[in-house]
Amino acid sequence: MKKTGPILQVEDDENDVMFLELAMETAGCKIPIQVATDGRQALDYLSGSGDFADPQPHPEPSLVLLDLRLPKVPGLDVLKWIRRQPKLKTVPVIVLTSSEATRDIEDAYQLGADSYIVKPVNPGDLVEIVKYICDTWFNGSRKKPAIPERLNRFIKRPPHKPSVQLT
Amino acid sequence: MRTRRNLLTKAGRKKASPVSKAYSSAVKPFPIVGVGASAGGLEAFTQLLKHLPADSGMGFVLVQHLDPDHESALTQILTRVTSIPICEVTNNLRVERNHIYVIPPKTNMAIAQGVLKLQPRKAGPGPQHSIDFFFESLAHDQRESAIGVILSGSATDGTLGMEAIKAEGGVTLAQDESAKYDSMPRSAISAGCVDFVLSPENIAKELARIARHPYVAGKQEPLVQHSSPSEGESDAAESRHNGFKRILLQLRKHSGVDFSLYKSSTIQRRIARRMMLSKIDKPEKYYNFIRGKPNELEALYSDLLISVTGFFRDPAAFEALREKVFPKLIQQPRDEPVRLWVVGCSTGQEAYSLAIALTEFSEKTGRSRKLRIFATDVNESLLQKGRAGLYTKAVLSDMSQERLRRFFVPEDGGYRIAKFLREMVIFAKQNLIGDPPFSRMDFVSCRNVLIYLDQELQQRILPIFHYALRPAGFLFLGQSESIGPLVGDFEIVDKRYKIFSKKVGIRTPLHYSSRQPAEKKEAAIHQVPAAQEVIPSQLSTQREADRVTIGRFAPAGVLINNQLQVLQFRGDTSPFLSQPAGAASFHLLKMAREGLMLPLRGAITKSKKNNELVRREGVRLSHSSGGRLVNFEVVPLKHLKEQCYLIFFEEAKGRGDQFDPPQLEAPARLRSKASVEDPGRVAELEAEIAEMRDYLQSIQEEAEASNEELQASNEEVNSANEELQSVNEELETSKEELESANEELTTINDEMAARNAELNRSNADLNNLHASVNMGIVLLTRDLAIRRFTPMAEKLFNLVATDIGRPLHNVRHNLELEDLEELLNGVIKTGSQREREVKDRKGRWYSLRIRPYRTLENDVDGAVLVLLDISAIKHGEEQVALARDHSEAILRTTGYPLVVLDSDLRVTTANSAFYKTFKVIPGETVGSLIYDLGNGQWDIPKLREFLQDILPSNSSFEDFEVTHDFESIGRRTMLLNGRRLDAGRSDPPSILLAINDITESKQLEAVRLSEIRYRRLFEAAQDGVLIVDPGTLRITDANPFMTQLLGYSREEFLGKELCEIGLFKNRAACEAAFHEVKKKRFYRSDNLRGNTKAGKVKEFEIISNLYDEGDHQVIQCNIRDITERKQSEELLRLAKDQLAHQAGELERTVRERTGHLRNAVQELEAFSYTISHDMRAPLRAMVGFANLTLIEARNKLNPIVQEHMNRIITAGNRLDRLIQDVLSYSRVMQGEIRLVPVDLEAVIQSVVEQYSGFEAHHLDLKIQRPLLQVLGHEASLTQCIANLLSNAVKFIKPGQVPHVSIWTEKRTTPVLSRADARTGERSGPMVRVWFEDQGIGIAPADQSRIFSMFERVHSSQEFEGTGIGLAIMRKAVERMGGKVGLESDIGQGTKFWFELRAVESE
Repeated sequence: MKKTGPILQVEDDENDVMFLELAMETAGCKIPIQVATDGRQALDYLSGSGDFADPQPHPEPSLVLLDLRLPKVPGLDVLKWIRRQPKLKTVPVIVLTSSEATRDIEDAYQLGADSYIVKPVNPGDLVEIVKYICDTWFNGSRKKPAIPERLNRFIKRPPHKPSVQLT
Repeated sequence: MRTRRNLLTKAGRKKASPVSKAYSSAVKPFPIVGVGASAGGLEAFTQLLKHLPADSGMGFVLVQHLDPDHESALTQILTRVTSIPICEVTNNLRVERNHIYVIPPKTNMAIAQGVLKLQPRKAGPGPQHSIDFFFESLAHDQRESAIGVILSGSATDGTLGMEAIKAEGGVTLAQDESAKYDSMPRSAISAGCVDFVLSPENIAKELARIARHPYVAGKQEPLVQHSSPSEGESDAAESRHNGFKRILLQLRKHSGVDFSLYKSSTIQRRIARRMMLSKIDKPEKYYNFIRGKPNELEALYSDLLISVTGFFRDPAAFEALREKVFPKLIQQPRDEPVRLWVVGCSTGQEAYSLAIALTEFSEKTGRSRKLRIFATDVNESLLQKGRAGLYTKAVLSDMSQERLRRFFVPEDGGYRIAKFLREMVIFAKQNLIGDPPFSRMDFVSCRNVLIYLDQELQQRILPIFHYALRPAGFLFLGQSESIGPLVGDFEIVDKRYKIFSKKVGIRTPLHYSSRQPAEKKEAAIHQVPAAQEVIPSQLSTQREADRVTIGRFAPAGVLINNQLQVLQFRGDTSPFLSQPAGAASFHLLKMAREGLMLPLRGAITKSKKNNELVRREGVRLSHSSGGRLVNFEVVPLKHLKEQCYLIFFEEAKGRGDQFDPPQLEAPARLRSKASVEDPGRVAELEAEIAEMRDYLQSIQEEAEASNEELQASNEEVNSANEELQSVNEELETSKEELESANEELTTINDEMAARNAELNRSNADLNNLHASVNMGIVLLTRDLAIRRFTPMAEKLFNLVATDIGRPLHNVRHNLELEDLEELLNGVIKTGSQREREVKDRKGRWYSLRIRPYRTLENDVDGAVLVLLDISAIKHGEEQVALARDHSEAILRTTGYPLVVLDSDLRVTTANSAFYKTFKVIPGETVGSLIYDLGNGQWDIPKLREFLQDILPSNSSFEDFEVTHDFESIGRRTMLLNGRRLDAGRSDPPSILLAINDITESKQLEAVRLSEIRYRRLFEAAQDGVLIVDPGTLRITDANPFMTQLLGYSREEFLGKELCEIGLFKNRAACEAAFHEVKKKRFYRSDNLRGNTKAGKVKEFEIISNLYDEGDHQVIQCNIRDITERKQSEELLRLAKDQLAHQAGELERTVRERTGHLRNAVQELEAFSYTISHDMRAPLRAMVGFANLTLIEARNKLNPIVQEHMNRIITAGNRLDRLIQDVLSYSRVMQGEIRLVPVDLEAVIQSVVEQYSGFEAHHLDLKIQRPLLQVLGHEASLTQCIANLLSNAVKFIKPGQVPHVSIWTEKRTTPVLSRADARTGERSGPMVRVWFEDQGIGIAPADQSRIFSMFERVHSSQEFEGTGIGLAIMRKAVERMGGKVGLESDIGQGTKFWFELRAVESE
């Protein structure tokens, strides 16, 4: 199916917001981005309340990029809330965070995250990640492409599949 | 450099200084000492005044917190203590020397021009601040003659006052721990503003000393004269001057800050103050003193930069900011953070105040903007305090409760700035004068920094602020500072509070000198006075220009600087210059009219080169400019810091064609010729030339523009670099903290290792003891599980090593003992010991003893079971008894007479049978000749023959039968036996003559003989023997040894029962024992305790037998003293118990320590994990922005800067890798690992599938099947195998294909390794997994360290990587209970292996 809504980026670090925007541009990804700078804003946006009551400039997102360490409402709580909403059940949620803690990865997948990606330091890697996200969730086909080898470091599989990390 | 505290009003302060100077010159100045105290102050005052000399030459003012409701008796009390006049203060009282003044209650006191002023204090609760109030006024009034003393008291009053005194150059003292209430002095000490901490007595002495010092007494001569030293000056002044310069030089070497440009008077005062504190009076001496004393240098450096700062200093100014500045800062449309720069931030109060004020403002207006505040100072120690953000309650006493709650966190008796505020503020060391400034600032605060700098330096710094600000950015100065000559470049926003904003569109050239090399600085310092004389102030640039212009009758002209920017237009320059279209520019060449540009440029270049006046005449302007001829001169201006030029223009006389200047003769002639010959051609050429000029000019302009852009980018890169540096410093700080935590853990670890070694030794001792003690010992826990046993117990209880921990009743033992468990439980319950003799199934006897197992706390925590083999003893006893029986039988049967004769055949002894038989008495017999006995009845010839023959020939005779008529007994037939008896070497042999009256039955004879033998045995025995009648159970006989044992005589024994002589406790026990004897004919006990007649307690063993003696029975009891044996057994058992307890205790200690250690390690791991994780956000920003800069400015940056940016990115990426690996490492260390059987091949397959890089490298993987299963943790194994394979691919000669073979090998290690013995684990068979590659190999020297953290054998240029992979692998394998290793050599490839436990098929 063809997605039409924007990407909702829940991210409190404005540097990271900027980097994602640049990466989207470089990757040639034309999907608009909406930004919520904390967990409360994300909930407001998704429930269409508060500042986001008007659906016109704030359409329902087709994908959520979720940071975990967020002010006001923690990312995992946002994720838990999303998965409880019937109309948001099918919206893919990708966790994009600095944390590599096994506990975070386990919890995120447990709560229904579709993917777990560690924020890369190198902007080039971020471009690859954006491409991977666009190819995987916006290409309209059901078949998901394999994870490029370069991104193995960043995309964490669910814990029952041990991921390989090379040093 | 920082905010000065203004307690007095600006007007008051300004007036104060000159008047106080006048006052000082009128009355000889003397120091005024303010003494502050609160609770416990009376005692301290008394002590202080007692030791104060009456003629100290100082005035004293005592400020004591007094109860407002009572009259104070302080003055009266103190009068008794000292002879110095004391009075209570009244308003407008002038302080005089050698007087003491006491504050009255309910007042605040201040001092102005040496006069004390009183004002009523507002009543009401809340802390008093009367000491602060007075000290601050004292500081401002008396400057360096002010002395502050803080004595005992609670709360924090006085701290701010002391800071003020120190900042003004006064001296500060505080009471040491002798204070009754020490929080007031302690607060001042911890604020770092106290010079001396002493007892009141020593304070008095120190005051007396200080009073005489010229610094305080106001007699200090200036170190340096303001004018340069002249000829007539005295040598002393000269040497002072040199000393001063050298001190500054030393300071610059130490700190990199050149104080020669600071206000000389301030610097001198501060140095003089340090000299006074160090008890030194001459600058030269002080210079010698501080050389090589970093502590004193640092103290001096801190003093020079001392300041008073505080939160929301000058609240009205902050109010002005809130009204006029903040709205504009917050409402700017840009999305970037608001950037603020606080110059001279000291300990950060100003920066945090701004952060708080802006945060509050943006919350109120609902527009949240990110803030980034750069706080800079030159003193690193102040910056560290600022970074920590921890302030005392005194510092925060004016802060509102609301702010305290919102922005501070209470901690350690003070408050720490909330984390989100600390994150906004970046502290960095920056020297305004030498270091590159920050840029693109929205707001620069530089309050009360400039006042410390001399005029010249101020002129250099203000343009830096101008540069640093964005257009319309704000500059915030201190109240008595101004922007001086830059008035045109700033707009005034608030005149009173000195707020300015940068005018849009004006760009001032920036000059900041980079740091000069040290030698140059030294040279510069030595030239200080000369240089000052030669270089006039920059202010006089215009005046200098005027002077020249007037000298030239002021033709039209311009003043330009070295960059050809017009600084000033002089006269009407419009015929020569015009405003070009496009962006406004004052560039001379851009303004020059057509035709003038090239000659101007040439002339200026020439003038620059030769530094001389250059004149050009007859320059033709283009037709559009009227085609006139113009003369101009370029005059370089001398004696200026910056090179400037004056350019005069004048119209040449007449029109161009007519003018024929001599210099241009040749071209003019050419031109006139051409015009005559071909006017068309001339016009054409002229047009061509004009085009060329246009073209040239445009190129010129482009070049200039790009040059400017390059400069701007460069400045931006510089400031970005500065920011990165400060982030880096913070990272370093965290790293150091981590390292120190690690250090502590290492220490703990070493201690634990030492304890472990001790424990091992004790354990080995115990094991050896166990092995060598030939006893069965079993230690049991409270629930009767086996804790430990000796080898002997192993056999008796059929124990094997695995039985440790199993309950005892699960073990089938060999003893005939059914109630063992009840016995044990009884012992554990009662805590008393049990003892018993038991037999095993093979019939061996054991003494079983069960004792409670006591811990060192004397709790019963199980039981100790000891089995001692007593079979041998039992057997021996039986043998002895048998032998005795045997002899007894013989004795009993030997009943015939015996007589012993000496060599003279005289009777020596005869037995009773002899006497009885022959009815003689011993008295007649012994000593007589045998032949004389019984009237010669033995005088038998045949016998005589025999007897005489016996001794010489050593013969014997047997059964010589004599039948003889004996006198007394009649005729008897005797059988005589004779034999020689050798009694020993010394005694002569004797003859034994046995006479057998065969007349009686032979049996009777035998009985008699036996009786005799028995008797001898009985009497000679070394055991006590008692004969007891079985019917009455009374003693019928006792041998002599019995007397020796118990002390009773034989007669005393007779007729007594055994219990009566203390061998049995009571008659019942006695009867029970004899009952057993009668039943089994035998009884034995070795647990008999008895008393001797003398009352001594002894342990006995009793063995009783029942015998038939003819028709009746007797019981013989053999009694043996076993007291000593018992005692040694007891000692042995005690020693054993103690050992067992110690072993238990040691085990427990090890368990506890291990637990602590494990917790500590876990905490550290969690800590390092968080730190590593939090590092990544700033790292991402660094690399991201560096990348962005590179992309956005790619075409504008020169290659070197690009290269630098690339290096930042590379370094950032490497740091990321490092963090990632550190995280992997700690992940390996964290979490629980459960070992399950793992199929290695499946793991290898999944690694190869997941990492497509192996395919790309054509990895040739050979697995030698089958691979044995191992016990492991799948995720950890995956990591290990991935690391090994990736190394095999990585470390290979270029162009080669990596080959790896993998196989497994079963290894059995039957011997318990020491580690296994300690952990108590059994080591089973292991599987060694081999990985052989054909890579570059590893030199033997490197092999030992390759498994350590961060060890890399190759440089990162050769092979990339962080050096953690193998360390992770080793940790992972060790956590799975295995080990790792390798075999390799250079060029031979490497065989890595790891060993894990094999899966055993049950």
